[in-house]
Amino acid sequence: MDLIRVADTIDAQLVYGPAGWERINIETAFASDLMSDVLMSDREEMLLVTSLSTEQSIRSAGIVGVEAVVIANNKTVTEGMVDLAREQGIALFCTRFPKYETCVRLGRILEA
Amino acid sequence: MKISDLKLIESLDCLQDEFEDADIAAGYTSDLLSDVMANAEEGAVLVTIQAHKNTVAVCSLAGVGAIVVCNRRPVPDDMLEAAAREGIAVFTTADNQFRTSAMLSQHLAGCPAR
Amino acid sequence: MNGGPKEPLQSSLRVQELIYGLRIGEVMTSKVFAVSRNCTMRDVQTIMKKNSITGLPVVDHKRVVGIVSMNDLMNALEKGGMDDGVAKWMAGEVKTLAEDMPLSFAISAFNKFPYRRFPVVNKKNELVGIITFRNINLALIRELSRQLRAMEHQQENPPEPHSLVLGKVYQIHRYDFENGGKASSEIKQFLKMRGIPAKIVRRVAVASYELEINLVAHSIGGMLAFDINEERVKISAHDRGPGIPDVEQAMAEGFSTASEWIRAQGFGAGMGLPNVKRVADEFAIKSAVGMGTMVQAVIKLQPENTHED
Repeated sequence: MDLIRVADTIDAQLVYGPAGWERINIETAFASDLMSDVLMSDREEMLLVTSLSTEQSIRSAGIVGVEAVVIANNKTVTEGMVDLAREQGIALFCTRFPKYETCVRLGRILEA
Repeated sequence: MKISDLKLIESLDCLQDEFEDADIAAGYTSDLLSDVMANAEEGAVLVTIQAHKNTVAVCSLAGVGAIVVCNRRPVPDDMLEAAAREGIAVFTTADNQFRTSAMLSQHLAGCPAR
Repeated sequence: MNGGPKEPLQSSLRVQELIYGLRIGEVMTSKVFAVSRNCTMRDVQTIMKKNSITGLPVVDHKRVVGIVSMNDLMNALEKGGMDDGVAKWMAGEVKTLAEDMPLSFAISAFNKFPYRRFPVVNKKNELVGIITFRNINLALIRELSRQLRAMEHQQENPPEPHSLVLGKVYQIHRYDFENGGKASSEIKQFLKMRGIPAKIVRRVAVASYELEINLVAHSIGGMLAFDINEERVKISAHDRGPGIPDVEQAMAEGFSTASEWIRAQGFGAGMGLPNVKRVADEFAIKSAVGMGTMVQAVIKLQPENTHED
């Protein structure tokens, strides 16, 4: 599913998007705040939902090749995170929804 | 929907069932204890990967009645003992936090998909 | 790199890493003189003088039970105890090192304890050698000259720009979460640019990132080294301490000694080392309290030889 549709569902605000981000294909999502847990994921074309707004969130997402990161809970994003997202070609969003609600909404469109 | 109804969900296995049954008010998904403490609602069920006795302590303070540990993370005995003392139910599932949250919301809304 | 501590030269880091990776058994003096409990201090004096050595382990059925130094000998001489048995004058509590420990542990031991030599023992706890700073210096010089030759060779035959061969060492600082992960990202990029399949790149990146974060969160600082050729990536993490009291426990999923602060950074879920082992084709760990930890992970780059996870 196109990333732009996924982002719409969770009312996400784009913080950084690589060229053509709207059409990036998202197959599934996962939600975690623990970096080792993120590193254990082994799917492609994923979106990560996290409430941990740190540079390490973006780094570990980059390590496993996540396409898009959504920071939940209305957290603010630092400049360092934006730089890292740019470096790694990852789309970065914020949403006002908590992680649970974000998962529920994503579940409706991705798991249907 | 009550906490005891979670036992009927196929993908969840109950590890600790000495709990005070109550209505489930909401879901909360987090692996950060400080976040659970600050933001989880009273009467929520927590979806997490943090299988640690401190999770029980935080849930007890925040009024969370049930914990679902995802990805079949091993749950240490001292966590189950703490949960029994505090009257908090503990479940385990093979699904990840995303799947579990999506599944729970369907049950909470009264239209289980599986 | 702005504002951060100045990084030492890559070549000096490489030499350090290489000698840290040597085993104590490869560097120690294996021809070791020792005396038994019933020898006298005079016997000790004769052996020391004859072989120009300054310390002598005392053994009982190959087990080290004490050590006599030049200082002990002087004391005995002063107090007229040259005909006493060594047991009266030796230091009874001896710190020994194991022959299969990395050399970095010996360096930590020299920094931590006031001794100038350590008896080296094998798995059966039998004396097999002795290590002094001189052994370490010699190993360092040998490694330096080897590096020098390698550099000369490299100048004559510069590597192709897209070559997969790379040796690189990163210094990792304690609690430097801001930069933790930079080394892994660089290596990931290096492999990706050279067309290594995404799944393999990801495994290298995961192992390397976990080890890097381990150094940041749990060690007092250390080095992360990459040795890459066409066949495989070898990642080595060395630190100077504090060391892991129970390695088996540390390898168990869910076990963590992380503080709440580290957990709040999203680390310390007790999945780090098991994660490294899961993605690696070969995995080895060695740790000793007060001396440090060394972890090595090898990931094969040829898809047909690697395991599926």
